[in-house]
Amino acid sequence: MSEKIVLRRSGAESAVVLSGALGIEDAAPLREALLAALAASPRVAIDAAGVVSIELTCLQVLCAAHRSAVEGGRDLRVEGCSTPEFAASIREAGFPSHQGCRHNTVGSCLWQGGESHETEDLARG
Amino acid sequence: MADERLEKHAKVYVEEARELLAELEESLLELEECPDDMEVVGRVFRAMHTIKGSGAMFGFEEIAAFTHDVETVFDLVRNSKVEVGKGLIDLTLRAVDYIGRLLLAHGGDGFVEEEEGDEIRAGFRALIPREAAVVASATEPAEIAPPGGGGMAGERAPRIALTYRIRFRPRRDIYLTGVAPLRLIEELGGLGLCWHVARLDEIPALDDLDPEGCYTYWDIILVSERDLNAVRDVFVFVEDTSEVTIEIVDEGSMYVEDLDYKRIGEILVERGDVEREEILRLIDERRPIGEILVERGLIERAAVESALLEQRRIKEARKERHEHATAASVRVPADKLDKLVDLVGELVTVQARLTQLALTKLDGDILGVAEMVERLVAELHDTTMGVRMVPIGSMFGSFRRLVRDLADELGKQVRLVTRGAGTELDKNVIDRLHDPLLHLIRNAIDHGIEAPDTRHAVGKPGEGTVTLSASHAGADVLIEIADDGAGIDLEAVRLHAVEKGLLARDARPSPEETRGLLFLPGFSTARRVTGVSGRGVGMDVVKKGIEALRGSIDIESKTGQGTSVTLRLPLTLAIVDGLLVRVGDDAFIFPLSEVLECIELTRGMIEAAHGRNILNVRGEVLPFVMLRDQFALEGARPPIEQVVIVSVHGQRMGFAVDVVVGSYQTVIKTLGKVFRAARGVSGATILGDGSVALILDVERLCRMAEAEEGRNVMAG
Repeated sequence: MSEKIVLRRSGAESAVVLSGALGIEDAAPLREALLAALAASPRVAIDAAGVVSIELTCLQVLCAAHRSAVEGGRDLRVEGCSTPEFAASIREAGFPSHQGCRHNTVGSCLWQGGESHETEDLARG
Repeated sequence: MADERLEKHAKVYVEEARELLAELEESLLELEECPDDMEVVGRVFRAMHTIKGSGAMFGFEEIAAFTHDVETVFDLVRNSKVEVGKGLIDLTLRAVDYIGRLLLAHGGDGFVEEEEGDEIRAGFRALIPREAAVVASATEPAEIAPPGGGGMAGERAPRIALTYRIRFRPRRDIYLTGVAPLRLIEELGGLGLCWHVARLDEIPALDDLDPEGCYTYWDIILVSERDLNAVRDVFVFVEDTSEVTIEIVDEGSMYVEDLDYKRIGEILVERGDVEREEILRLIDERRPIGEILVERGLIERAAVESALLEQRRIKEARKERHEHATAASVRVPADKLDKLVDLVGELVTVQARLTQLALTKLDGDILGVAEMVERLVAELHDTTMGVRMVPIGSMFGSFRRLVRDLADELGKQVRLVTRGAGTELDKNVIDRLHDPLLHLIRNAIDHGIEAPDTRHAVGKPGEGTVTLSASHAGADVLIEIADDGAGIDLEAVRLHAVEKGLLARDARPSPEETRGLLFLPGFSTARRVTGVSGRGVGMDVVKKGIEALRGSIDIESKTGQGTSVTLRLPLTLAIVDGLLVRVGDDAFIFPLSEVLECIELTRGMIEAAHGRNILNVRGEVLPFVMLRDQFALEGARPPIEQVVIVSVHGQRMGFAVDVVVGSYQTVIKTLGKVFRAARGVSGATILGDGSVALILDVERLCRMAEAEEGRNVMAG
């Protein structure tokens, strides 16, 4: 596992600390780390404060992890994703940074900290 | 033919560019005061962009090339990569001047020194930071300004922007083919304004995820002037394997009846995100359809967000176009407008004849029609006059630059405050007002405002203020140029007048009379010649200019507190309120503004004066002129004549006429070349019966009478 992705496993809450520029080659290790973290503990915190940029494939992994967590009744959070760097990556990918996907049943999206550049109430018909 | 058309376009371009330059100058001065105002920066950028873009289109290559570097720098300013400072403002103002000269030179008027252009360009290039040169060329879709702020229409007006709805669903293994999907979206951004929403509903749970597969697909809204093929070309390498649908959802037509756009449900159905039946089933619930769909898990939020985006962008674009269309103005050459005013003037006189005819014929039908025509003509007349009215603020702007440059040159600190910029005046008046105002402002800065040290010494702030204000006063407009400088040194004025031989050495004029000396030809207190003032133009020229506009000028001054010059001008030059009189068969018009009163002239009064043309009006002696003699008119004098008393420069004078008919609103016609030499007549007008009445130049007549009197005295 690269030093850009560091897994700290513990019984109650595991942490995945991300840093640097995460590219397509980091998607597979990231998936492994998150699978391990979700298997180890009911709560998983992803620390993205040190991320300089994050590629689409890695964002997809984070989304998938969130999906798995929701399905498996686990708690997954991304911390520090409101840094300008992280927000820029999300915006570039066109991710809906403030509303989340349909798996987002608890009302808080993975990207909630992201910059809400297109915020608007859900449509009038 | 094509050349002719191009030439016509070139003319329009020159005119437009001039206006843009004036606007630019104003924006730059504004920017100097608030360097952080990004809106102003945007304005400067857009103006430069338009000058450059249209310049290239209409064959002004040298302007396009020159403006390019300026535009680049302001683009950097816009992106906070270059800061606004005095240096940049100075340089840009120089560039504005240079572009102005290029425009002139293009029309074969004047010339430019290319070295100067190169120097300015080098100045701008030096401002471009090394790494910024790279950054500036890369497009970043997310950073492109949204419509409204960026002003697509303003920047590239001639073309029509289309709105595309694009769904891009890359094949799962697109990364293996070496194509990064986001780069394609970035490429789309290069075609125009682009917004994209990622759709994530196909991303599986972590166990099923191929970390290098692409599960995301995008809904994209692109606003671009490029055609469908250009958009397709972006996807040319992936269209066989990836799903790409491109639809035009807004044609960019200028005249959309309906500003509204499709409802969210409709957009979602069109996109295939949801079934129509589903929508119809849910629609009666009184809540936004998007909310319901998301809540029921029928659709992901991103789908609604994306549909919303499309709806909003198109509504915005339509609204903007609509505003653009409704706020659109038509450029009309001034001479066409003059012709129109002229024709309406003719119509007014013909209408008056019609009314007169109807009255004499006593025909009810004709009278009815005549009245209707009268009403319509009056309305037409008002409207036409209104068209010629221009806010004076358009001229105020150009003085800002003058104040700045002159203050710099003289080492003074001066602020120009303008008030009443919306005050409207006839375009002809505004055009002819420019030079007198220019001179008065120069005077205020050169002679009025003191140097900062002097000001500090007398407890004033170092920065002086010149206030330029305009307001309506009845049918007149008042324009005031006031400064908070030292005021007029009356003793210095007196001594100077004596020195120039304009005043007797022992004369002790009143303050008012002393200020009047300033208007004498040959009076100029400028002891030294500065670059901008001291061109041998004195206040006498200003006064002449104002009087030629049928206006008056008045000076007030308080020692140590400043000077204020007030100009009173008529709203329009095309019409004058007159007093219609007759001498024999001929009709004349006195400008009503110069008439004080009319009195009767009886045989007895003439005898009392012993044949001299002098009247006793309430104990005051008043000289008068027989208009009949003045114009050598035939016919016998009636037993009782009328004397029209006028006031010129505070001096009263009478003119004896046969009959005073009454006040008459006169449309002024200039005299033809043949009559230009006629003295004592300033113009003519056509009366209701079709006959011509001459408009009297009262001032000239008075001067002629005085000269005559002088000759008589010498001879006698």
